[in-house]
Amino acid sequence: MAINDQNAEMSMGGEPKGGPKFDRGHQLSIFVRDRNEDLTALLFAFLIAMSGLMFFG
Amino acid sequence: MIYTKKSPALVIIGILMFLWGWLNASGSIDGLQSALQKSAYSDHTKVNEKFQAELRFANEQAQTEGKPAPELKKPTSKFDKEKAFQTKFGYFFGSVFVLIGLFILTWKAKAGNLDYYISTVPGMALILLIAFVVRWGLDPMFANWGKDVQAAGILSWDFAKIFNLNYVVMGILAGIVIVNVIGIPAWAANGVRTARVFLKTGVILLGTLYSAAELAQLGFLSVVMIGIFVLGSVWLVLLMGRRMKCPNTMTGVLSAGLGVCGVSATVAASPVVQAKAGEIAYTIGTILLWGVGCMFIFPTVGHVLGMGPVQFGAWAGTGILNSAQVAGAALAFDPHGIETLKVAEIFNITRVLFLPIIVLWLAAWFVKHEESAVKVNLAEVLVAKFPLFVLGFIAMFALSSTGVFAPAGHYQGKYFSSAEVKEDKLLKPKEVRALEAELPKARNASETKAMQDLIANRKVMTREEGETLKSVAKIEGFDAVAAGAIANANKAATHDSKIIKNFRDWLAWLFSIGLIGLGMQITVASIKQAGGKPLIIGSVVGTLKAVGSLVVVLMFVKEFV
Repeated sequence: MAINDQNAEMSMGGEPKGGPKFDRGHQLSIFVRDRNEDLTALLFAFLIAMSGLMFFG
Repeated sequence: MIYTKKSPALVIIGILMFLWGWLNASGSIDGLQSALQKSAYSDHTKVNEKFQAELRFANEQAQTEGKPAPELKKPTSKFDKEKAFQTKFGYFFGSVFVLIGLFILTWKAKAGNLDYYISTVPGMALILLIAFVVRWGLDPMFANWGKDVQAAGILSWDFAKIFNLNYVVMGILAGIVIVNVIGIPAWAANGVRTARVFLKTGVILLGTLYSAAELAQLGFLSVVMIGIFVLGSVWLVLLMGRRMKCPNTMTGVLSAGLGVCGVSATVAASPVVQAKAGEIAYTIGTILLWGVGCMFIFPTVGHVLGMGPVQFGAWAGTGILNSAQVAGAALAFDPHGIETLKVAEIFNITRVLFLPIIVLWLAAWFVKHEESAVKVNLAEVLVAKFPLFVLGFIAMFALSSTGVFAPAGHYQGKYFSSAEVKEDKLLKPKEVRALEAELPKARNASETKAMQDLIANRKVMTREEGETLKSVAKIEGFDAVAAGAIANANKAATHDSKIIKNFRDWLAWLFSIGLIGLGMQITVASIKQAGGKPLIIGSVVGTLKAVGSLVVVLMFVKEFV
């Protein structure tokens, strides 16, 4: 099964979200519909920035 | 629903990574590594030769003095460090993936969060494995190849640099090839989707590379000119996109790519406007092809119109979209002088520094236009829908501007500091004497003062004096030793922030992973779906920008630098 055949949109939060039925090929927007992913990215970036300051500051 | 698929793939990926670590540690692939990392290896050979000579000398001395042979510690070269890094990376991820892979094979999965998170690991491992190949294999291989072809005289330019065949583009290409040729296996599907979180993290960290103080140092003309053209291009693309009924996602990402600086701006803006993978690939393709065309046309037009180095640099820095291509055009116009390149780079840097403004603008624009079908309160929608990671990017840019990571005036971690010049980097007596002899050649009071300060302190005291001294070194008949002393002094006062260097490494990995995942979502169908309209918009705006900036440069830019 290729990734393109999946209908459910997932979030980083864990449970699948019932998304619209996508056409093959263009369905995966790199944006996620809730903010979990943004928060995860913010957390990662914060951790990297802090470790940079701690080890090289 | 159970997401974790039972497959030995993760164990195999783990073993491959572990094996790579072991091959590096044992030195079995030193031949391959030395071919890939040519400059690091030549540095390694020099370090080794120097060490052997020192060791011989110390042994001989000990022998004549009748003492036991001394124990000298072998210095670590860049090549050794890179190999050690790859070893650690291979061992760490290899063992983690083997362990999780064995767990997946033996575990009786139950629906829930653990199942969901575990299901993302094989896909991430696959992307990381491809990132290994791209960053440690393909990237240096193409870089070497481009240089070799140029050195052999087959091409007069470095094709790997001009076509941007670095890890960014190759990561996307690798993803595209995989999804279109073999498809994404079911066990990797969930992990591939999580790749975008790394892309967003990368975008946030991108903010640390720039500082607002750098803008102030760039000069009024470049800021105003670039401001008008960057903001004007973005505005025009947004307007044309709406008129031609292009999707907002496509229009948004295209405007950033055409307005700011090509690939990195496209990547930074893509999550802001929810651009689809195919649209991002389309935009990057348009920009790169357009840039290659400009790189050949611009120098010819410049010579036909009899433009000076400053004028041409300003034009190339404004009109050409991609940083490598700006440098390519500047060098094609003036292969022996650095004046054109310097001016072009100043204009190019100014353009990149507009990125935070564009990102904010696009975020607000996108939210407004996506929600306009239903009349709602814009402020409420902004609060509810504004992408949070953009705030992270702005916050990092603000922090970077205050000087938390590196002194406030830095650009991509490089900054000027006279106080941090090391003792052994101060000018040697021979260099000072050469400078003293050349002192009468200074053309004005500021040049005299800059030279006197350099002689007295044996280092450059301020950034402005450094710039003045650079132009002094170009005076006709100026002594080569004195000119070399000025170059050394300037180099000694320019530092690279360790923190930002560390961030740049992180960024490269995050973007590699994110972009491979992105490439894995680009199918032929998605490119076809973008249609011909973006290409029309790209060509119209690109041409207007090139012609407009040419007119402005010819009217207002004089040979003043």
